[in-house]
Amino acid sequence: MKVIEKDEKVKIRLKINGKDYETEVEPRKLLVHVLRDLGFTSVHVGCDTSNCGACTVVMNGKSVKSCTVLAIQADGSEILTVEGLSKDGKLHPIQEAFWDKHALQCGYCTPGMIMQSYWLLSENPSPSEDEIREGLAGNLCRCTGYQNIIEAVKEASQKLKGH
Amino acid sequence: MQYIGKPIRRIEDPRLISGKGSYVDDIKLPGEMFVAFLRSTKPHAKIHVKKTDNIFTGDDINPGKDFPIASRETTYVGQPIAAVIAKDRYEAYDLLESIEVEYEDLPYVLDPAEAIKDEVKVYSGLKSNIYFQKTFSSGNPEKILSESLTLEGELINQRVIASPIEPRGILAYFDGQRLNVWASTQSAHFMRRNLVEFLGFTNIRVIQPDVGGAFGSKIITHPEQYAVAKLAMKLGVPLKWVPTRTEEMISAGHGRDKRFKFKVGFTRDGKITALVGTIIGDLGAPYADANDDESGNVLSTSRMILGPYKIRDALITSYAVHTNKVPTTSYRGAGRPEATYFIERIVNMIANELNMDPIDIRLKNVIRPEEMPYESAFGITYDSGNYVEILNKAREYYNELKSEAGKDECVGLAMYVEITAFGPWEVARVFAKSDGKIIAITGSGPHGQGDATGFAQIVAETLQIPIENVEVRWGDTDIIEDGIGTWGSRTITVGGSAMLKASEELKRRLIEAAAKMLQADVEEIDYSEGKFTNKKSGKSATISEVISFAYKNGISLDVTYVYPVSKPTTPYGVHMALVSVDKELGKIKVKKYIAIDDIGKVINPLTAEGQIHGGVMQGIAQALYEEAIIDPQGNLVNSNLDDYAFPTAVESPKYTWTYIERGLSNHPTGSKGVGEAGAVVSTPVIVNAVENCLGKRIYKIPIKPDEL
Repeated sequence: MKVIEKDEKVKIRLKINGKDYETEVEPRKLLVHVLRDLGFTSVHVGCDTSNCGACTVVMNGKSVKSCTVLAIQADGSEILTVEGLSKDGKLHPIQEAFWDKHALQCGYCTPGMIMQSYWLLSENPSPSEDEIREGLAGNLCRCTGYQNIIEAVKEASQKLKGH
Repeated sequence: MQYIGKPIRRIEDPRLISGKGSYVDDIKLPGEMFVAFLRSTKPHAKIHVKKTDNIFTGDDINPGKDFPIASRETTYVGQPIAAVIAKDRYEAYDLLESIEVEYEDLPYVLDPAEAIKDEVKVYSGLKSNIYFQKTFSSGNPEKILSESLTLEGELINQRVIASPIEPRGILAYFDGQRLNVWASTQSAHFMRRNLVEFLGFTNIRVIQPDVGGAFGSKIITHPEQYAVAKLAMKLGVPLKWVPTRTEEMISAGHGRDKRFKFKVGFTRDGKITALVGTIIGDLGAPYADANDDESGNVLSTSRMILGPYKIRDALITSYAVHTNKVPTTSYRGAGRPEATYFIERIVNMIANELNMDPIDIRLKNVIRPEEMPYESAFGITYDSGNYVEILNKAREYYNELKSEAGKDECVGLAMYVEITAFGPWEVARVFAKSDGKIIAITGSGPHGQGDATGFAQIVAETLQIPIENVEVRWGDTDIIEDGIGTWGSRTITVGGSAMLKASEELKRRLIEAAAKMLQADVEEIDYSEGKFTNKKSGKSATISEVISFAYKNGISLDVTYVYPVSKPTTPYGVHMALVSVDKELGKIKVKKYIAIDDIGKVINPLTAEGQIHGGVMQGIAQALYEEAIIDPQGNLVNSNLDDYAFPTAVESPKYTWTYIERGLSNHPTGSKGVGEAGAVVSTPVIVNAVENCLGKRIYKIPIKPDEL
């Protein structure tokens, strides 16, 4: 059993968007802050009680709120953030659909919302409207009133199936 | 090339959907330290903060004063009373725990109707808790009331919290000569002016980076922002402050919180004859920046309370009152939602009383098209439009919704007229780079509304160039002469008019340069789609060639235009919703929402509709979910996004938006504001629907399940 003292830092490894990172963290440090410190500032903080989902990333194939994971718990995991979605400068169909459907305004919830949509469509490639609404209920948006986000996820689902 | 009026997708989006935005907390300076604030846990108390290293108090920020930071006496739970500085946020919050504070409780008052009596003073420095009392009066309402059918009651428009997903924040660095500030704000220029005044120092640059929404909550300069700026000047190291959500909710973004005790007169056939009443607006504690902001909103509520109706006999007494609560500020609509809520709720009650159709009763009372422009009894000029036409247009949608309504489902409808595009002025700067790129800079400060796309459309259309050739920038006090900001649904109209005029002047200068280049008189130059032609000789030059010529010949193509505004312009519309009310489960669901608006010339229907969706959702949330609940000890009970009942995608209805362009504004854009309209009208739409289902009057919102 490895024991880490209160003021001790520990080395962790993360694979973020396909690249390896190594960093030293205090045990209390949250994954969201470590991701941001490593330069992934798309991962946003919108609350302190795990409600808003602005910090959503895909960790080992699951969508998680990275404000609710300790960085040391994530040691060895693979993480996808919105920075890793576009390939060769080409937008991912979900990003493209968010643009087409005007599914963002201030853009602060957008990275988390897109990652949640990415996970939702990987779990359920043809969600009904109600399934989309339920599937995004952990991600709060104050600007859009949600309808255009739902339309964007519908469009992305169509596009992804066509691929 | 035609861009204006088209649903052009946003030029803002590519960065933001790729995670490449740069909000204030994304910006890092070498050696930056983190600031956290200790906040009062008492609604009113004498305080003594024990000072040690790294702990700063009100005496360091505003010696001898209690605002922005309380030094001797705190007047609301959540007020900053000390600051700590540490190497990161984790250590800063550790350090907060070490601060020792002694409180000596003072009597406090939370209810503005109590505070009016002045028995308990909110703050020892106040002569009275009443910030102002004003009377708006026209005709002979008391006499008319005595001759009319009447109805009376007290409507509550509760306190809500703006809650943008990004909280406030600031990063400040004094380099020995200049204070450099990055802040999550609605206007870099307005914040600069505030900091100049507070610090008594002018060499300040403010940058508004990407901002994660505001909804009015980031207009004012907040106590913490003044404090961080001051400490940054003192310490010479970069200081960053970003509050937690809980701190944000207990200290900022509180809005609305008005009540209206009314008596209304009407005839048996539905004509509203007179309106008398008292409005009380709760300002919270006496923080001047907030009070200046919100007291103006109390005036907006008072002066707009007659709605789009011809009510000439009215008497409204208005109070703006302090209490020991968070100082209230603008929240989307800034006083107009309360006005619309009050009058539209009253109209619904009268319609139900008389068993009258909601469109018929409004048709009976609205200002007729031939009476436009119309000056209301309280001196507001409604500039243009056709209220009768929009009501008639609404009828088809209304009847459709009615026919769809099943058991335990009702339709609610409300109408609004609102004031937008406030002055006093706005600035635009448009110039050509030597490589041919057109740079357009606005003095306003968009933070989600998509105005940059609208500006690009305006500039591209005026200059007849592809929109891709226009870059739009804002939010840096160094790149444009000055600016007002983004609020009051003013940006596309006032900022856009400045942009349009600046582009026209740039075009004029380009034609002048082209005339020189092509050896012609200005009148002999024909300009079309990026090409200048000498009509006489047939010789022509492209816009890039003309720009290049201008630089080589010392002709400046840098235009700044200051656009002045004297009066707001008034959009209007009719909104309705199909709502299901499950009395047993206490569940209300907004199933469909239809909005018909006239916001003058629509520059971009895609982004305008986005504004309606967002505003409507916020208004629905006020009707059904949100309320800042403050306990008898002055604490906000629901200080997180779970307890505060922030709506999710599950609660959002299906919206349909239609617009007419009947009433153009007098501004060069022809547009009126749309940013706040949805939030202005949607709250009464929903409450009217539920009231129609329940068959009993609703006075208080949000409508709670146990009230069904």
